[in-house]
Amino acid sequence: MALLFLIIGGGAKFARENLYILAGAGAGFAFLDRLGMREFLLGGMALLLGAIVTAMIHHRRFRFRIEGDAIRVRRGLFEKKDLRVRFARVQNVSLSQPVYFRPFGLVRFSIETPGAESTEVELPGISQALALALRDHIARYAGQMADQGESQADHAASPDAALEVAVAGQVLHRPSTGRIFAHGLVSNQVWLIAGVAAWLSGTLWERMEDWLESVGVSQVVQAILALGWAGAAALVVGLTMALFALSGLLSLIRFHGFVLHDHGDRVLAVSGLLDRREQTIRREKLTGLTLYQTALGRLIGQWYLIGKQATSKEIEVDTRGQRFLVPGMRRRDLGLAGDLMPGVNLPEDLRPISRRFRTLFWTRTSVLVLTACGLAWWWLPDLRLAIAGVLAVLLLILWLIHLSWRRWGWQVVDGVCWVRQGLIGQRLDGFELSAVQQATLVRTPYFRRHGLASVRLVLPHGQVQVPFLTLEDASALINRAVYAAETARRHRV
Amino acid sequence: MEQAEIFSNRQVATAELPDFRRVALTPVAPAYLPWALVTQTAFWLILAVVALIVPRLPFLPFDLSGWERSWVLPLAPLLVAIIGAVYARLDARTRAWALREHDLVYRYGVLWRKTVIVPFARIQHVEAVHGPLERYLGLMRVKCFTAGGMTADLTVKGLDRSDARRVRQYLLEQIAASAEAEAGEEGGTVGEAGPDR
Repeated sequence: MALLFLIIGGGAKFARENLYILAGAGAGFAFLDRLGMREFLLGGMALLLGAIVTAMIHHRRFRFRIEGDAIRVRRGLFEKKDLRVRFARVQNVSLSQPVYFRPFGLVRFSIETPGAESTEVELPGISQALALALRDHIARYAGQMADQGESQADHAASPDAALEVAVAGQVLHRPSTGRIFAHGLVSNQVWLIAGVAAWLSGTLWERMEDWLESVGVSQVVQAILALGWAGAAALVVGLTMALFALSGLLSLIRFHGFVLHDHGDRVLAVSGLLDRREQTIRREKLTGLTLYQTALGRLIGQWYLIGKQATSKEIEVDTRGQRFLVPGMRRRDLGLAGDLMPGVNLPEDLRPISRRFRTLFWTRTSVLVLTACGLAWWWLPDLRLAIAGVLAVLLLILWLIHLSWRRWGWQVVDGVCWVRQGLIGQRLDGFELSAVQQATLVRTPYFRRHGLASVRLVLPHGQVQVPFLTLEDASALINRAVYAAETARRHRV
Repeated sequence: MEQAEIFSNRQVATAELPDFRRVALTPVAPAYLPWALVTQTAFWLILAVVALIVPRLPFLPFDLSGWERSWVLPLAPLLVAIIGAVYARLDARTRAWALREHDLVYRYGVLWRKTVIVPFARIQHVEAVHGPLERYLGLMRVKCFTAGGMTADLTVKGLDRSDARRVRQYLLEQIAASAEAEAGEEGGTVGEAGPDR
């Protein structure tokens, strides 16, 4: 049975990885008259056969074993891989159950460690009971040094219960469906969808036009065009609304029934409609968290939270929702930060950065633009209207600089450093100073003239920068961070 | 988390913390300047020579239409080489390092002057590298790797070879010591310290 799913999964993966080739081939098949239906079917059959054979070999080769405090996986098609991961190194266990796994009680089980670029160990299609048992087994080993007595009771989740029952624990956060929909509305994925849609429409437009002509729908288009500005505006509004609705729906599908549970030394998030996903994250391996509020989210007071863990990735990318995201938070839910990282309190107020941030960027931008405009005014009298437009844009930029300056803020509360940045939206990074890996003081000639400095702190999950502090504040922050790192009990990630 | 508890319990006066600015930094070895000069200007000098020679070849691989007799062509890379040399001179003057009891301090940069502090407890591993030119000049680089991606690695350039060896040895000893301390503490805290919930 697992074999069947491996074929489906393998097919899906193959399709994802070779999307461009497939799309090209599909387009070729669809639009080239030379290839008939028979060739198309033959090609499809060959691909399917290849996928089945690959999946069968993959299935035959795939073996895993639990060796006390470690898991060993052997796999590989052409190149055999033998991998052994110690449970103590595991920072993230996630179970996911796509909709086609559900009737057979199978789940996909994956483990992440800090060193790996992507998921280290993935067991596609093991039984749910085994997965849950394995999860608790890992939690027991991993949490051994943290505590033993207290959380043992929590661990005693019965392995044969359903996914929903097995995660019983104190509920930390359960956003309403409306909130999850709102998360989709305000999240930046709207722009991503818009970009993809624009790209698709760009490439498909010519084809569409031909098609429209042939079908005779062009009368409809002409009718819309005849409406003039009102019609165009309605079209734009309609498209925008459709875009937002789509984004909201996607969010609903992904985060359907999101619940965050507390299990002592670990927290557990369950969500998803089509692909039921359960993420277990160890509190100890949480090196920081970030609270986000997008520009639109500010309008309706919507936040979301991302738990940060050590990574070797250079750029933060959302690889199939692997990161630990808590959607649909309101202002009063922000205390969740303290629930995730005990002893962490949100700062009541943040300290601003130096006024010179605004002064510097205001003066430099203005001088640059005004000089250019003055020259243009002198040399190109025809374009004076455009120059006036540029000056208006300059005002807007100056305002944005002011907003950015207002948004910057930092504070240290109980050894936890908070840094806020943003323009209209905002993000608030919180991390323990003791997690700092490296501290850098940066001074440009301008900073040296005005007694300022920037601080750059390298954390296991990436860098955080605080610009335009006074030299005293910057040095004090670095001294504190370095002191905290050197006296911390936990040494390496 | 345990760290938070430590810090909320033990109030630390910020002014009393050891200040990294009071550390006396050691300038890099004098041999660093020639190394930086060579590595930074060699490429552009070669490019300038190529630009000088190519138009004078009897056979031209491509059409230069009017640039043959021009002296402008080699000037651009030459200019870059000169700027690079000036930069290397200034850079060599500011580059300095120091070891403290628990961390490594390294300062570099001409316009953006950076002071980096890496606690030993955070170093994952250390690497000492020297290329052929560095071997000739008796130099060595020490690379310190920390968690947090590739940008989190610090390369201490321009150390004397003997210095570099000593630094590396010291780093390794400190790392081992901190790892031992960690193991010891972990063993001792199994029973008493648990998370809040």
